[in-house]
Amino acid sequence: MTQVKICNVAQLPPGERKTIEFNGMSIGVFNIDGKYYAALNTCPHRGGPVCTGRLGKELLAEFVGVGLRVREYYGDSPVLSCPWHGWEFNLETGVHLADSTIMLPTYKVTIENETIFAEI
Amino acid sequence: MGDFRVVDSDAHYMEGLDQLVDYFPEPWKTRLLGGSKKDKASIAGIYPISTGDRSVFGRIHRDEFTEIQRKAGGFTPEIIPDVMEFLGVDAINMLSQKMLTFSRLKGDDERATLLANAYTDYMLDKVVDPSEGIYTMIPLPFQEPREAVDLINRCAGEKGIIGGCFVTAGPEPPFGNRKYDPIYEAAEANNLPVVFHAGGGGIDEFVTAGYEKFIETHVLGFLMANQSQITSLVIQGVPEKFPDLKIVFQESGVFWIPLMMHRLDTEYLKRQSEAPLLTKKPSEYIKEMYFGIQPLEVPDDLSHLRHVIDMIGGADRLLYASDYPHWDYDPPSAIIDLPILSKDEKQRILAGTANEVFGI
Repeated sequence: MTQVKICNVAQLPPGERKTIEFNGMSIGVFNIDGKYYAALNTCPHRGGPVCTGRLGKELLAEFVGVGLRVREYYGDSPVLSCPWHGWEFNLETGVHLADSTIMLPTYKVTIENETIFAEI
Repeated sequence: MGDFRVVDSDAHYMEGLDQLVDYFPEPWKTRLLGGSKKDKASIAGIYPISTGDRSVFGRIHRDEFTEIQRKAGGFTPEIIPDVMEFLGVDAINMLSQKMLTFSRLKGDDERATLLANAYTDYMLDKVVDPSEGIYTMIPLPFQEPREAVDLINRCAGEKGIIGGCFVTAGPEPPFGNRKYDPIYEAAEANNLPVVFHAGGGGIDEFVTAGYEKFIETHVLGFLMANQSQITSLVIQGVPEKFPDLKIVFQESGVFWIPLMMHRLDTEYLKRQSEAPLLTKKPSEYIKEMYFGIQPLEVPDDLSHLRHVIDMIGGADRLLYASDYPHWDYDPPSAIIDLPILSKDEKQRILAGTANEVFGI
């Protein structure tokens, strides 16, 4: 495990993301409402640049009654969607939303002295 | 049959309207009798069939069936023990022949409800006999879900009733739609399995009009009807909404099942947000369903069939079903003679799964 310096916090404000190169890997780092996340920028499906994909929330649903339209709503966890084929991952855990055996590698992000590090 | 108990999960009761007419309410009884007392052209068209000659223009015939009927003076309830003896089955689940036309009843859809009630009443009155192993299923009129619910609640408790049956060709919207929820709720509450059965009514035109031969419409029509419904059921989350509902698919063989499992899974990985009720992959729901084996595909290399059976969860998912007396029926030997199955697996398919699903 290596502490990899990403950038100063000022360089990654809320709502922004960036990708870095480390040991031949592309890593995506995100600031979502002040919380930081990092993930491998290579989709386990076909190798697409998953960290350039749409950020959103998991769409959930509830069966509210016989004959009624299912109630759809968004959960809280941030979700990253690969732009190549739509595979979606919980950015906190790396778990694929449709198959818990499929994982996108994610990395712990720490802040020291106003500097963002990822444990890669 | 031999060392095995055999339950036929799908044979057809070839009811004629002349047999059912007394079980129709007015004004339909008078309408039917006004046409003809026999199930001939003037009233047969009330429940239209599709084109195509099932017998391949005389090549397929049921001499034994003809003889059984001749001795009884026609198609009567009394012939069923002879049919069971011919097939070598200990119990039989007879499905309405006329319900297979439900998919073509686009206009006056009261006809589906009328037939469903008349058939069920007639079968309970004249035909089913659990002590002799003779059972039937309620034809479910998908056109009028409230009527289907009433029929389930009225008759599901009868010992001779072991399921409710949908014909899979034709319903619009397909069976995953919430409009059918009340039917599933009633079936689940009554512990009544729901059987989704492919049917010939409407196969001429429901996908692409213009096929020229029955082999084309039958190969595709029966298959695509079941494919469309299993897709709708799974993606719309019917097994999540009604987790205790037993779901059976019949009459498309078995090779289509892994195709649907893998195709649905592959797309679900890319589009799971369109199926938000699901808590697992589509294939996992399909492996909790049951499937009639008929018409069983038997490849030259039987290991391919073995792989298919393994892919869908093994013998526990499969029910022996003859489809007798239809043109492509499978006798019990279709299972008994398969060298790729163990004796226990054969017994499971021939009767064990039916016992688990239907309690017979």
